[in-house]
Amino acid sequence: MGAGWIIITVTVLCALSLFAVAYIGERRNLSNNALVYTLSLAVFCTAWTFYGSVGRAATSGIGFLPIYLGPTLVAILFPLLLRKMIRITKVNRITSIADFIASRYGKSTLLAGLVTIMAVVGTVPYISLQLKAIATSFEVLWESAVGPISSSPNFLANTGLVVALLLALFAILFGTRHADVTEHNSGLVLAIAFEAVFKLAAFLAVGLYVTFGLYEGFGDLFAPERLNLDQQQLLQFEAAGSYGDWGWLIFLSMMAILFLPRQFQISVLENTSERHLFKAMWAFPLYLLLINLFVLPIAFAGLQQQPTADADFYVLSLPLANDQLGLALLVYVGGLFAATGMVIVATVTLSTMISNDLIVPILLRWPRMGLANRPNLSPILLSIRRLAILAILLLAYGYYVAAGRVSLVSIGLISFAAVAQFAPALLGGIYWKRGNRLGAIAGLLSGFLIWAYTLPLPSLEQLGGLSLTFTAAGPFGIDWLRPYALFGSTIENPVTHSLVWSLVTNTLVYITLSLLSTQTIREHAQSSRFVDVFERSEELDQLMIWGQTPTVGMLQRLLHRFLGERRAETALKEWEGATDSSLQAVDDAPPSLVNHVEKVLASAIGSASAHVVIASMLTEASLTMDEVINLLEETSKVYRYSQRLEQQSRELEKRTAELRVANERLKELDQMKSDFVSHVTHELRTPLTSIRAFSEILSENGDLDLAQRREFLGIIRGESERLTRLINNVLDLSKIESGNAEWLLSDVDLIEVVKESFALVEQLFVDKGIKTELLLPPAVPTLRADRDRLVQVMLNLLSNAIKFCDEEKGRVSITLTATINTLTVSVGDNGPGIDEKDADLIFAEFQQVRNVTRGKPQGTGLGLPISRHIIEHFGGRLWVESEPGQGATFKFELPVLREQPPPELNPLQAWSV
Amino acid sequence: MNERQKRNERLLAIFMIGFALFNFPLIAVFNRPDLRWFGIPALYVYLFFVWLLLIAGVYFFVNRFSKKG
Repeated sequence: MGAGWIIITVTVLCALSLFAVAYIGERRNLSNNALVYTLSLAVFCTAWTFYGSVGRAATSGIGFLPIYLGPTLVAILFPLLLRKMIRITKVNRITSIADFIASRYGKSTLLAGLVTIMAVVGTVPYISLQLKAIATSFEVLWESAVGPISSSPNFLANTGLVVALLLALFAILFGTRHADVTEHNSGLVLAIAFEAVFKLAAFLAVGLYVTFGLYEGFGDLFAPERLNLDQQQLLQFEAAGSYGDWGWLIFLSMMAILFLPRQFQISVLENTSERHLFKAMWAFPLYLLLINLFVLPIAFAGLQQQPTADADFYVLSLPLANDQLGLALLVYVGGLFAATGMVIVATVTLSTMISNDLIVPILLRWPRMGLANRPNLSPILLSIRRLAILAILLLAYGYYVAAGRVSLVSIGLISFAAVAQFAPALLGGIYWKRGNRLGAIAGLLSGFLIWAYTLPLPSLEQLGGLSLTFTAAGPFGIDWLRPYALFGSTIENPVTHSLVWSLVTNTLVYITLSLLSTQTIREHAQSSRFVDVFERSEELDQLMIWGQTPTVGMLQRLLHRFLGERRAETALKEWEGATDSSLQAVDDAPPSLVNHVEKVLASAIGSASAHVVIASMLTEASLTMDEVINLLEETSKVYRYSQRLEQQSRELEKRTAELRVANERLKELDQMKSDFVSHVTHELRTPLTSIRAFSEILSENGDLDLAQRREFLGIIRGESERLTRLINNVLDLSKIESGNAEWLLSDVDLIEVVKESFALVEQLFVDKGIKTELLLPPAVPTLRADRDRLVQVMLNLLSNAIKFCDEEKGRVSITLTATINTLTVSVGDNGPGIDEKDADLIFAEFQQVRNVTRGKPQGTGLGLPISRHIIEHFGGRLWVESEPGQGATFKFELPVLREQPPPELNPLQAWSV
Repeated sequence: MNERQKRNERLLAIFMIGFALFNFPLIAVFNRPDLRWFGIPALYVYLFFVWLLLIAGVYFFVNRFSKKG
């Protein structure tokens, strides 16, 4: 049992040294060092590297190498990629990769949860792989040095479980010390760095021993005469697969070194200075080179010396077979450290994600839990994390038991392919502002589902969880759904096949949906915070996304509850120092303070949860809708404003149109006025010319006989009478049109008016030999009107009838008819009649229907317009009915029952004009 | 700022050179199991040599830059 006790003692000493280093690191804060940072990055090299690389090399030759070439290449880009990620994380107090992605896309709780689930699903099998490595290495060592493990004490048979519990204890002790995750776990980091030194030293030791102890250097080991046919084949590149697979593996490991949750934890969250990157750029690849230097020699040595042994444990079995127990113990410890480092960092990282990005948001939204009202939350947060660590390790142990007999070789790559799904959302998120929440969620989800379908799902077949034809024939025999040949693609390597499909879909969905949908204001603000992290302006901190202002007291109480009093006061002092202001001076918290508090909270519970907390606090205070309404109002204000502008411009257009019409009308009226004036002057000139001509004849020719003189004087008198009439008419018309005419109202009997008018012109009818016909009823109702005006209308109509009726057999009929409401007078002649088109024209001023047979028009051309004005003034109408050749009948109609007579003018005033 | 951009561009160039050196078709040139350098298959020597060269290149680049800045 001596050897057995040595193994157990060494194992326990290892664990104790780890605890001691972590404790020292915690007290002395030694992690702020570029070398420590670089060595801690080597958490990338797990038991999978330590044992698995040799195993992989033994089956695929150079095929193990791309996993380390990728990180080497990415290291060159550290100042571009990692530096930006570190800065963003510091500025926004990010607590995990899930928080990083969620925060970028508007602090989305959904996204945080999704990334967390993906990370857990991708990482748990990887952790179980480490447990298996530890357990198997222990067994190999024990069985070689002591004897069959089945005959040993009971607890040793369950190495896996013991290891898992020990690791959980360590992770809980050194990974969950503060509620504030952004406080560096310096003890943890120092322990990881310490392990990194040890595992490199162990691997180099066994490599040197094999190459120069068992062989005489590389040349001897690879000597052609030593290699059998299989080993000859292994020298060829083709053993590693196609050149395409090689390239994709390099790419995959590039993604892994950036996005594996534990890498993100160490390289981004635990980074204490951006300057450390410049050392890590070359030192980390150098570390990788050194730890891989002897992989091929050990693999070939193992193949040559132990063709039947498990290639994964050549590093251990080669020294054991050569009785190098000390070296074997060193290797065993190296492997132990490689595995524990990964498990500890991964569990701490995942526990933070599970608590901050999955459980706390759910609890906060579950009012019955009352979490939001607890006075001090940091113990609860820490308990959640500790439970999560335990749960993850038990889950990993369960997976190890269930899948323990299945080849675990490709689990590392499956894990890599899972986290590679973060690449589009994360890289897009820090370089592309348009990338939005919807695109990120849909992209991640589609990539994740395809990954799950094409990589881990088929491996379930080996566990008996699926029908045996699932992979070969596809689900339900659907050929194009075969998980290793999606849509009939012929990519031979399942990892490459899965990676191509999932990542291409993921990227395309992310880009397409981002372009097709819009960002919210919060997303927009976050995208600037991330993409422009180096050009950050203070304006962003002033940006108030909340619709409501909390008081300083509210924020203080909030910080106390989540961080405890001491940490809360430090955080508030931080703000006072940064903004050079005092909390005592303000009552309502300024936007920069709210943002600061949210960030500090985010460092404890993640940005998505912090956002929910602040939101719920503001809700409690009063309204949630306020925020929404305020945002909406801003938008609708702009909208309303533009609508108003549009309406105003429409009104303006309408006004312009109206103005244009009015202007046209004015121009028309102006034209009419000048027409009228020219008509009047023309009409005045005709009689004046004849008066002047005849009076000249009279004055120049004194020898004219009396009869001729009389005739000329008669003409002169007639023309001057016409002139007088014309002037009277013009005056009359203008008075009526301007509304200045005087109307003498009295009760009028229309029969009398007709009779009187007829009597005045009866002689003219007789003179011209015109037969007349007068049809009058015995009595009609009286009208309220100006009698003389009505006589004027009648005379005008009668004289027109005389003028236009047939010269030979003239006949005029005058009729008066009465209905209940109206009295109608018609004066009909048997003259040439009036064309329909002229029927309206004759009522216009100076418009006389020229009659060729009559030659010179008679009358002033103002009679009918004046008459129409008069009739219309009394509410009636005047019109003509006629057919050419059938004579014309002028009719006017006056209403009898006038409810209200037209306003009477003062008779005196009327007379005074 | 300008200095940093220049630095980033050069790093990107080194990255791309490295990516090309580690990939097809260059590695195919050395895929000759019969060819040995120092008794070691040429492909292995080539890959580890390029790797070392890249590390050295980055080391000198970083040191020169940090002296400048």
